[in-house]
Amino acid sequence: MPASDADSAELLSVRHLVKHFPVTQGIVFKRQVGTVSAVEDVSLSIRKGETLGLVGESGCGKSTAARCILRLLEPTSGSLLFEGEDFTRAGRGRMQELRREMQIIFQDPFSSLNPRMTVRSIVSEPLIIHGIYEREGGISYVGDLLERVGLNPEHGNRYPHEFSGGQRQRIGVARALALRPKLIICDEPVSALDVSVQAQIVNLLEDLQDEFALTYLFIAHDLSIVRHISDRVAVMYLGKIVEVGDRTDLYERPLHPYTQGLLSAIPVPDPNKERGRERVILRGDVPSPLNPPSGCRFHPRCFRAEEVARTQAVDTVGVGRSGRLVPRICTEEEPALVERGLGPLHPAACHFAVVKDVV
Amino acid sequence: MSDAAVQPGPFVVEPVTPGGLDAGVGGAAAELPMMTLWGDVWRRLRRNKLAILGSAIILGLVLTAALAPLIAPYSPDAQNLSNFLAPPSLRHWFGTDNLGRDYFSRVVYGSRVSISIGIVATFISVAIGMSLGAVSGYFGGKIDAVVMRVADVFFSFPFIVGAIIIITALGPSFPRLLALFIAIGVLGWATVGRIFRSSVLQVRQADYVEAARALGAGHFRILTRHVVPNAIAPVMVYSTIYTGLVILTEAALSFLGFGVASGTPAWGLMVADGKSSLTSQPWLVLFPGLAIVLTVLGFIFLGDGLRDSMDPRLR
Repeated sequence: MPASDADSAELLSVRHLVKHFPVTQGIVFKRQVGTVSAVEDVSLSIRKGETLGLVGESGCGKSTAARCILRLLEPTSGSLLFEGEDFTRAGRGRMQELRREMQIIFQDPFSSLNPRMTVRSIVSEPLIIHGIYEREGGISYVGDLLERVGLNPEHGNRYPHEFSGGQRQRIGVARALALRPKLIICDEPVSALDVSVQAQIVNLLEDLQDEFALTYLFIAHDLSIVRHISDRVAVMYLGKIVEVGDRTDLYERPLHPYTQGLLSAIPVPDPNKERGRERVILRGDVPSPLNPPSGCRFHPRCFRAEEVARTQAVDTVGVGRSGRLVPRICTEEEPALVERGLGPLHPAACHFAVVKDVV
Repeated sequence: MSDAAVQPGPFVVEPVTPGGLDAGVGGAAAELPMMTLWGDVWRRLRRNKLAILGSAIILGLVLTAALAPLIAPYSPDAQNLSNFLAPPSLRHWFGTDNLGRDYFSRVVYGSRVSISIGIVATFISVAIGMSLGAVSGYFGGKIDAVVMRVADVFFSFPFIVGAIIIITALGPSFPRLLALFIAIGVLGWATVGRIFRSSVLQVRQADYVEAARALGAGHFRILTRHVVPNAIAPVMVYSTIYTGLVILTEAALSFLGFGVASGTPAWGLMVADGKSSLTSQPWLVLFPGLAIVLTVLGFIFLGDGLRDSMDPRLR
């Protein structure tokens, strides 16, 4: 982990978070036939006021990690710290207080708002739950919130289906903001929106961050948006963090072959550059987390492992899950997320990490 | 620009023009017609001719039951032994029965039994079914397994036989109407329970339920404010159709002699009494029979219409 672990300004710290889902068979007499390891030993730390981007393909465990952090799912193991306080096993009462500090914005603006409630009741619900509706100024506070996120407060008694996707996402933002949390987890907040609307929502989130000193955990699979909004970026693959780094550093000097593959998929808006660019194309799909590959979880899709295997002595290579030759260490030993030549603030989980300019 | 360490103060908001908010409360509604989801359902329902016909039949039936003394030309129990088994005429629209009672008046009063059974027994079934279904679907796990196995037991039972057993067990001194309420109401919960459970299961996974949990809402709030309102539509449809089935079941039980006390004006009983003279005095079976068919159809039409107008795919 980065040295910032000891930093006093650290707002949220996730240590060795693991979430397994049992796979069971049978209706009355259930027996466990397997385990989906959705999140496997994830450690993260977010400083006050920063935005940490979390990227990865669909199904890599980003959302599961987010839900564990909010204790919407109970973590299998690991610990969660908010402002230095371990709340992994916090009781109902304490958790209720912490919910005022941590909120979430969902991906799908259509299913995240109750269709049977008016916008005003959706946004006032957090205040009512925490018994502070009157104290905060009731209806006029809710109106202020709606106005702040760019909605007309006069539309408070309308229903969600009368709004567009972008407007609905603004309602979701207002709801998350109502309790004035310190941390907001944005779970792919713009993935379901039109590109033209995405920028509006991202700008809104940035403005709100400045105004209310918010800290974001920004989950996405769109790398350009993550680059735009994040201070630091963590890359996740199959339940594990494979690389963490400062935004510019990570985008300009990616260490992990998976990060390189992801970055290489971003189109460059310059035809000459684009043509001359070396493309890294990842083969295959994400393996099932029910039965993750041994050693490095990325080895069956890793071009770097094959590159290295070609230069190595025969007795140090073996056949990987993909059927191709890879260094034996890749299938036998799990690479740790440690410093790989670019300093402790930019660790990567690859045995053969080397910078490759792909953008 | 604000420092993270500073206590979060009140929101800095551009001043709202005084009165602007209050004006907005009433003003917004006038700007666009308010369209709640139920309003939406109602708009579509109005265009469905069968559903309108069904509602008209049900409304007519309810009015008949409520205003029976005003509609019926005679008392349902007034006998006229000099004019028994008279065929339908202008004086006696549906003829008279074997005791010379005006058959039209008896059919009119019979609606009271049907309507009260239809409402009360359906209410009991829906109340039991919805509570158990909600708990089962929402909490899942062992509770779910137990509740659903109990529901299976109720399913494996022929409805009429079950009702007869319950009514017999309650004994002849037990008020007959009350016995019918209990028997039909208790036996019918399983289907409601299953339907509600499955829609609760679906709604439970919605992001807005997750959002409510993230906000710190308790189970009670999540169930009553988020899950039940969004899961209730299929139960509404079913219970409308089910009301028709309940009325049919009451008629069947009365026909078999396990329903209301003999002599009471009830459609099932009247069909049973008239069946022996089906060839000579067919009106004795025809009119109460028609009343049953019409009533049941009314509820089925309305239920069908409700289902069509609540179908999210048509939205």
